[in-house]
Amino acid sequence: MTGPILEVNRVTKVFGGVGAVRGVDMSIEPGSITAVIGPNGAGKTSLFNVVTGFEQPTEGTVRFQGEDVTGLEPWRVSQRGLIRTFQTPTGFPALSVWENLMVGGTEDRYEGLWAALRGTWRSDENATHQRARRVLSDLGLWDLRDTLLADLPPGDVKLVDFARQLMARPVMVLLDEPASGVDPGSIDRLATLIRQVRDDGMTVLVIDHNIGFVLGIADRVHVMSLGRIIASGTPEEVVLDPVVIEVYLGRSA
Amino acid sequence: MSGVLLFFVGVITLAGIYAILAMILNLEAGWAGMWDLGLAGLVAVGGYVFIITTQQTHEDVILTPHWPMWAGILAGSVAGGLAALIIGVPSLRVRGEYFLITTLAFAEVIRQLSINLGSVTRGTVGFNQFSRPFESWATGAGYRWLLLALVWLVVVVVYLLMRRLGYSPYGRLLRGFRDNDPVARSLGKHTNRHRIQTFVLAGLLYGAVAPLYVWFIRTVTPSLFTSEVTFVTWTALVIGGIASLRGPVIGALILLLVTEAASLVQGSGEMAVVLASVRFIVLGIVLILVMRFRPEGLTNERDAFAGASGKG
Repeated sequence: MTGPILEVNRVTKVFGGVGAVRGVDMSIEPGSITAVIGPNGAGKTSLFNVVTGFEQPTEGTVRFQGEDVTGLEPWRVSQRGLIRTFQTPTGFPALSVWENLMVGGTEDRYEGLWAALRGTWRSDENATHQRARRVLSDLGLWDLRDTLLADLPPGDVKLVDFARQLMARPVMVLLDEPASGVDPGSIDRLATLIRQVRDDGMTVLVIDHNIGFVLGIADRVHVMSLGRIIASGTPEEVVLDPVVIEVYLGRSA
Repeated sequence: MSGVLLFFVGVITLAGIYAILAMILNLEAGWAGMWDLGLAGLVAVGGYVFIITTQQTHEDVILTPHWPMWAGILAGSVAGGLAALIIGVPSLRVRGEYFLITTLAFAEVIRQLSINLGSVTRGTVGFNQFSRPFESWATGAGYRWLLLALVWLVVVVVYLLMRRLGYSPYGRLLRGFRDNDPVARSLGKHTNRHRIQTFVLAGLLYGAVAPLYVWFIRTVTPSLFTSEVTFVTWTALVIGGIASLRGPVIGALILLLVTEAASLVQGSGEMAVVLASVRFIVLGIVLILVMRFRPEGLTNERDAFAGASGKG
């Protein structure tokens, strides 16, 4: 083994005196599916924001593939292959489902002004097209390809969000509530696809409120409450942890 | 009769110039989401650099390089691009409203400079004697037709350029991050670099087409580049359909035809002042009607890019 792919060391994020994330340590093995669960306000999304460069940590460091990425701009973090999704169903509303995926999959050098003027982008378009077609088919979105994202229900937008981020060839993907608002039939397809990308070698970190969904796919689970990790383990261990039952599962069950 | 015809030749020429400006504005504002309120300033930079570097008759200014016309157009274009770079780099780093305010202020700074730097710009008197291209080919009324053809040739060229950009991955990315910058950055896109590049391209283009406006008006004075230029361009874009492809051209044609036709109304001396402001009343009415009944404009982004997603 080459060691963990993502190391979060004592990360703290304070907003106006309130600690959203308080000294979180996390170490993620390559090729695993790790879940972070916890009640609203536990600091899960803030942790994601710090890891992906959207927020600067107040303290602590983030290392990805052995390199320090703490405080790097989001696009630099993404270019290293650490790609996230967002909690709210979002994306490029004026573009079709299809174009959303193409933006995700098109490399820098084919996307610039110069490439547009010279027309060099055409040589790449077909390969990206093939990949988009496969991802859309896997998620059952092929028939919606020409629909503008603005015209899709939020649940479908969530699936497109995942598909678009996959097109950017992540080494590791951070999914912020990928199943919220998604209809039950599609959740199964989503779970299958997440396992499939893991089997292809991708590392997955997922936040979700749907306990059944999360525990069904995760190899390892961290439970957050009030900015701290209060329990870690396999799904089976975590659901039996009395502290977890107390602060989280107990209330929602 | 021929007077009315020539009047409309002039209107369509001016509409062509505004169509070009609106297409450039559509690139930076419609697609890339940068709300430029200072395009008149960039046009002024291009226009002044062009006239200062090329004019041969006014010898009372300190700078008279007597460059050939093509070099002047190039210099005006480069100056427009440089100006865009200088105001774009600091203001695009922060969010939207700052860009809006910076560009608005920039246009006013340029106008004040053109008034006060009299030794270079001839102040409020400006330049009114300069040659225009191809003047040996046609004179008088004939030249009006020639200018019409020249302007609309540029309309076609700029339209084809915009089409090429709009249907490319670059255009796709602009229309994407316009609405959602965080998602674009989460995909590894350096959105700010794309914004600055796009604004510089807009500056280059505004600078390059400014001579058309100068040739049409036949003088270069500070009053030529007031915020009216900016707002007529914006109105043309909004009427035609922001972020569409043909909208800027359609909007400019309709707007200029309607507002300039209002100036055909004859009136007595006392009425002249009232009639002069009729243009703006008509402009306002057209804008309100479009906003009420076709809020997306006469054409829209959805139709312009439907099926452009391609081979699916």
